[in-house]
Amino acid sequence: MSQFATFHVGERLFGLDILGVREIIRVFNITPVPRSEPHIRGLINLRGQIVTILDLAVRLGHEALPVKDSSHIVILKHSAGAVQANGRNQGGSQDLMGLLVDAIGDVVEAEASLAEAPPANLTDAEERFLSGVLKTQEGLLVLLNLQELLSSG
Amino acid sequence: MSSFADESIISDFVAESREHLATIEPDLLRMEQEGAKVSSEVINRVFRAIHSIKGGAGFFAFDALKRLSHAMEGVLMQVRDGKLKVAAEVMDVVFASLDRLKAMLDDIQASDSVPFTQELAALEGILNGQGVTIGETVKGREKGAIREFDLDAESVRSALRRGMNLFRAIAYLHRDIKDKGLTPLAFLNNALSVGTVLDAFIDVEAIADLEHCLDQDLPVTLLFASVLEPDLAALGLKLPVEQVKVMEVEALRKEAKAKAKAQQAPTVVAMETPAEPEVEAPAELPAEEKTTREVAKEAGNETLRVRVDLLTNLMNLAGELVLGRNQLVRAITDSQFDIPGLGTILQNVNQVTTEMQEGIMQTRMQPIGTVFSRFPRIIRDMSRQLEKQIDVHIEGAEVELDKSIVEMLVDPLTHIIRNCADHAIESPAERKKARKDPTGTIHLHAFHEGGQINIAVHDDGRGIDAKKVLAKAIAKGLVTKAQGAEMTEREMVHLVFEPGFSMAEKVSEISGRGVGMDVVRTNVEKLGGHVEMETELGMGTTVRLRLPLTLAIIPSMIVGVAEHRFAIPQVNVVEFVWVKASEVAQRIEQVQGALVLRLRDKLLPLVRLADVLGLQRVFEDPASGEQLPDRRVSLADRRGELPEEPDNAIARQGDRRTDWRSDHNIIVLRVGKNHYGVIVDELFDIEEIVVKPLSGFIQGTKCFSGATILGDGRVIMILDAGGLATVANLHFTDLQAEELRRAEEEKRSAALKAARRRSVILFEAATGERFAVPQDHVLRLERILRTKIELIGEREYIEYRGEGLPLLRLDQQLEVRPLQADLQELFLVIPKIPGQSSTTRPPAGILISEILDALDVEVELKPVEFQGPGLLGSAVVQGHLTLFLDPVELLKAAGLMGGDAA
Repeated sequence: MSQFATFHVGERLFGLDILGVREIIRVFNITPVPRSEPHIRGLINLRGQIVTILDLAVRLGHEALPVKDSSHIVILKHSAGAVQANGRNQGGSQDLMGLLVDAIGDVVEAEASLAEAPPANLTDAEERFLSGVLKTQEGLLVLLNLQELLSSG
Repeated sequence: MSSFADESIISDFVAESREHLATIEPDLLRMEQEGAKVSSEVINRVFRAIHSIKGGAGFFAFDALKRLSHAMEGVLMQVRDGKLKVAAEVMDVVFASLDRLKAMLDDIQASDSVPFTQELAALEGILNGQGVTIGETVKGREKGAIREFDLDAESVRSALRRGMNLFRAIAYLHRDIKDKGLTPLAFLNNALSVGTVLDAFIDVEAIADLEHCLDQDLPVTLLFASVLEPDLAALGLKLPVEQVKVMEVEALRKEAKAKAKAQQAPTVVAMETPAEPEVEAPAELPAEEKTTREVAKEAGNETLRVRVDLLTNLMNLAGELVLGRNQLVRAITDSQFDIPGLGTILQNVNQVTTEMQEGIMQTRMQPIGTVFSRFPRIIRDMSRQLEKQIDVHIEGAEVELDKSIVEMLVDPLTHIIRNCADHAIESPAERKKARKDPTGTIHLHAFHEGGQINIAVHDDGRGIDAKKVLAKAIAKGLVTKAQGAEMTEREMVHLVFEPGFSMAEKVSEISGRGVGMDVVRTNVEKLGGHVEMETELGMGTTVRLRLPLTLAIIPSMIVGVAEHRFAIPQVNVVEFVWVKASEVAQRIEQVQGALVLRLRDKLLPLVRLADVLGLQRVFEDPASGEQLPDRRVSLADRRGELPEEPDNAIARQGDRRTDWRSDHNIIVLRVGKNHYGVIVDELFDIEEIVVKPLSGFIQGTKCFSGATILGDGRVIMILDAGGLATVANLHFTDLQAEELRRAEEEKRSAALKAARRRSVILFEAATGERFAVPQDHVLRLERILRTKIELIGEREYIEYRGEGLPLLRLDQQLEVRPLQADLQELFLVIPKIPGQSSTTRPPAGILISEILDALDVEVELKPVEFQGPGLLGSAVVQGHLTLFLDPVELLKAAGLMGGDAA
């Protein structure tokens, strides 16, 4: 059994293997980065380290959602550089990444091997970033492909 | 064999040996330069360094290293004892051997595979020439179970001549060295401070006989020579007394006999001993004492090896601490709580943090000398190869820079230096022809200035011909002819920094491979520095580098645009210009569609930070104080210049184009040699910021060089001046052309103005009638009494400097009223005759009634109706019609020129 951290973006429920999540924090003071790609929401200061925040909604091809009280940031254990270098973790805490999500859900236990291929009615952008779908009591849990999410471009 | 010794001990040995080699290189160069005059201190230092390498090599049984250093030591000993002259050929061999030693140390475990026979043969050749043989004792080693000392006659002889005792000392690697916190080299160095180590080895064969050789402490045997008594020697060596035994020369001889049957050298020693010590010892001893003291002094300055990543980490933490401190200070200052004593505590924390940060910064600081020190050797080798004579002078080697900067300076500086030697400095023959000292000089100078490090590399070579550089640049298509025509000499010279530029007529082995000064510039700019070049044809060239002290913490100006804040590194900031809203019309304009700021004589391209970054501009509405989006496309949009309609007047009240809130804050930034202005909304403090690298996701924006965390915890971006200029698509060259055109225009109009501008003396003759004469036509003005005027015939005269001076009244020549007759005091204008000196007697004086003023006027003269000779014209000065006179013409017309009217 694997544990998944779940969160809402728009009306969908997404999940990430909890082992890939470093921490989840409330949203505060995101410094926007002018002229960067639209899915870069900005930078935050996490106890002296700078974390680059991706707007998950934009990354998946939707409109950027306004920050609400329920919004959270999922800080990832992987740094972008390490994932790009084919999982070879260089201990580079330099390039910390976080995902901006609309709301946080529960931790869900499920068998990862039961995941089905993503449904066919997805947009191209979504298809690239999703790795599968799990049926849970809460409904369909869409699993994210972290490696694709964190690859630039 | 070396497996007996710990890896870490060996790596210490390697590191220390490398340092030794690095320090002796300059000493060797000095030996070569100063020849016989070089101080014994220098030779001793070199000697000791090689000696301790040899000792260590023997210790760990690195055979090749030992044999080569041993041979070098032999040669150096000949030099030290004054038996060998320091010729360039000898030094060539020594330097070559030095390089081999370095190569061996680079991979110590494979050191035996480094080829060194050639160098060894050369060294031995030198020694053979001196009648000395070395190394022959090494061969007998494997035969006996008991290892013998490697001795050569010279070293024993030399020691005995100084009246030294010989000791055989045994030190155990663990008990006597490691457990006392020493390294073998430190142990050897200590031994060297109290005497001379003639040989050292680990008795491997003796150990091998034992079953549990690995448990056994390794005995190291030293043959040690010192002037000390046995008990003191043991103390000096930090060994138990029983492990230090005096060796009688007889015993030594026996041992030598046992070792090699037909070896004569030690016998010779024994025989020579009684004869010589009395003679030479007194002279030698003081030198020895001095060396001991010097070593002691060096030992006092203790050092510790620390891994660089440890320091880097420490430095990052210090940076965080500084930020934390700032946040704390801010939080406490803002809060209303009043806790007694908190202020003092805060002050304490504040100070300690600052000092700690400085301290940690300093641990990463390295003297620039570590880079400079390699240049004398490079120049030496090059000058021999190129058959030139070049001296290197180094100044400011102690100036310290961050380690990373020092490392990144190696390549650019080496390139500059090589260029100097290869291209700039002429051959001795050429220099003689140019009446210069046949020996060229390269001067390296580092110094602090304005929070930056300056490095100047000056040579007294042939200089750079700006025109040739330009021609080459045009030929290579780097600039067009038209661009070239507008360039200043300085700009032409700076073309050498352009990519793809190479000045070398022929590609030499040393430099001129096409990658050139542009690499220097790129590297230096990467470090946040600048390169400049000054040159004088035939006199030499100076390349100047300006660099920040450190990369990690930089003072930056914090600016605000819309609701965002950004940091601009202060090295990029040239100045700050404040343009009042009411002055915008005069100072900001458009040239070829781009915004331009007129700053002194320069035209600076101007960008709005908000526009470049794609942010929504806002302005504060003067009436409501609201932040509203600014819709103006360009600052040069000035709808107010249209005639205003009356019903519009109310709307124009409190026009925001003249309101102080519309003043412009412009920061002038520097990119290479170009400057440009950035319009920002707000200026905040200058803060010391810790640079944090950007995520790969953001690097593509080009506008930013990093991010940082401010004292209040918020993240802001650091602007990259160069990237900003690229993104804003600034055309510096277009503007330079425009600037040039304007300068020309300015010159023309100034010349025109100057033509109209006159310095005049204003005076009155008859009341109310004003006259002016150009000042450069007047020699003197004199006051006279009417009673002194004498009339002779038709002409009036006055006594002037002992002679009669004819006087001219204006009404005699011009249609003006005569002077009032009742004036007691009158004035004389004495004209200056062109081509005559001021001491020549003036031909005549013009009588006037009063001098009004001396001033500069800008007038256009109009012809007067009664135009006559001597009348230039008329103009209105100070509200009165004034006649402008030419006194010389006046005198001519009156027949007073040509001298002898009297």
